[in-house]
Amino acid sequence: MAAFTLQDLQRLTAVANDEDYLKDITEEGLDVELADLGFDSLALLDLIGRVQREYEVDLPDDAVGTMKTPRDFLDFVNDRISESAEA
Amino acid sequence: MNPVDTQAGAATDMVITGLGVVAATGMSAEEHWTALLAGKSGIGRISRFDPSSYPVTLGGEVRDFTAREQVPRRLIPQTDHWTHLALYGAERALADARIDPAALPEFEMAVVTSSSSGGTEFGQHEMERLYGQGPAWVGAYQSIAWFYAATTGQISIRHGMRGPCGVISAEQAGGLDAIGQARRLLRGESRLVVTGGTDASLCPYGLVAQLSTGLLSRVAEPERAYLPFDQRASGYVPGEGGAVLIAERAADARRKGRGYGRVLGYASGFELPGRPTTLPRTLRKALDDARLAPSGIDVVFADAVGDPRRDRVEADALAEVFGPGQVPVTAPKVLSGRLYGGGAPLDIATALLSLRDGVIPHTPGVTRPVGGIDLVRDTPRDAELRTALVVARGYGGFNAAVVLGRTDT
Repeated sequence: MAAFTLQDLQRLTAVANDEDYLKDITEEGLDVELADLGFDSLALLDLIGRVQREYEVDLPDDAVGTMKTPRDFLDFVNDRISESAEA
Repeated sequence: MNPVDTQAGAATDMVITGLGVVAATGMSAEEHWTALLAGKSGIGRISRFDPSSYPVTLGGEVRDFTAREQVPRRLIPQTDHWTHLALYGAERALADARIDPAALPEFEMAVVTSSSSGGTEFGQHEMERLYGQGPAWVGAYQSIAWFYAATTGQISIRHGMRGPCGVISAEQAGGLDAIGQARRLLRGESRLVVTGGTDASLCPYGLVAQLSTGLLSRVAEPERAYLPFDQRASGYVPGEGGAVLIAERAADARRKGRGYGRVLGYASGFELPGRPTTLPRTLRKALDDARLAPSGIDVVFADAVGDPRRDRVEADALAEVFGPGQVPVTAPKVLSGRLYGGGAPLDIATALLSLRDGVIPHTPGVTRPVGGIDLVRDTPRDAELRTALVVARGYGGFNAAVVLGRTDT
């Protein structure tokens, strides 16, 4: 399966962000705290749900606790994608 | 003075200073009031879904409500339609009371709403995804959108109100119990309570849940479907919406020269199936709490469920407490439908406007009233009104009553 990229993350965030309350995720902002970008725990769970459905990858609910920045998010999803490819 | 009197004296400390009406009869208190006096009904064929395959096809929908215009966009996908209606109502009520929450101490503002259905439409959508596509398709916001306290929580967060928060689920009676709880909080450390409430369950799942009571009217003609206290009574028409109310201490309201009316008394009770009704006792307790004799009540806004047997129980209770035909009784709720958690708050708003203008709105459509009560029919009735009694009876046995008085009483 292909890697989960910043562009994927930006696209899914835009879908969830119809209400325009989340700040844009950018290359320069990969290490900004997700909370500072407007994500509370439910917004993050909502995003994880969208990734699971669209990329058919299993992401445990407690993943929320380990994701502090967009880079963490990308790394976590890509690790899971690699794991499922090896399995 | 004995201790009971001291307690009752404290009962005159609560004033309703803001009304946020959102119902089939209007999107503001004045629009609602104008519709009632004109006998203009908001009941029509349900349009939120196709009701043709259901035994009940009529509802009191809030047709002019558009969430994208009236609710912060962020909250629309995170909350149910019932919460949308209440967020709008709360904003209107606060503006009506000229309250700027940002200027008040956050821990002295409380929120207590009434809700009997929760987020059924939101829940149905997520259940469809669960059974149609699988657990991963259930959105994260289902966790906070469905449950009864969601509306209270969202109002609290939006307006920065961090005092005591709660929700009361006692079907139609819950709206009056919320008023009772608001009064308790005003006697404590809260200076302002956002109270009242809404319900909105006109989706297939919500309607089917309501059908199980057997109390909904299956008549398809809007003007004949909901005729409480009429010998042709066939049940009630469900509606959506309600009213959000701002409650403040009388001293604060007086200082600002504002307020629609006082809450003079409140009582609640419970009726066990197969046992004699406790309604007369609840009515008397509310009168006692207000320190009024039955002759001190100028008008009664009845629960008026539209079921012949239950209407008879209510009419008998009113006749027992007030004497047959001794007090005008009305139920303009036939124009909005029955609103569950939002119903009694809307009745409170209607009663306060009635006290303000000295006119009792009528109960349209009733032509063959049951005996024992003076039901206001055909046209509104002018009257010198100082006090009003609002009665609510909830499915499951809840009952409650609130006595209101003009601010100069």
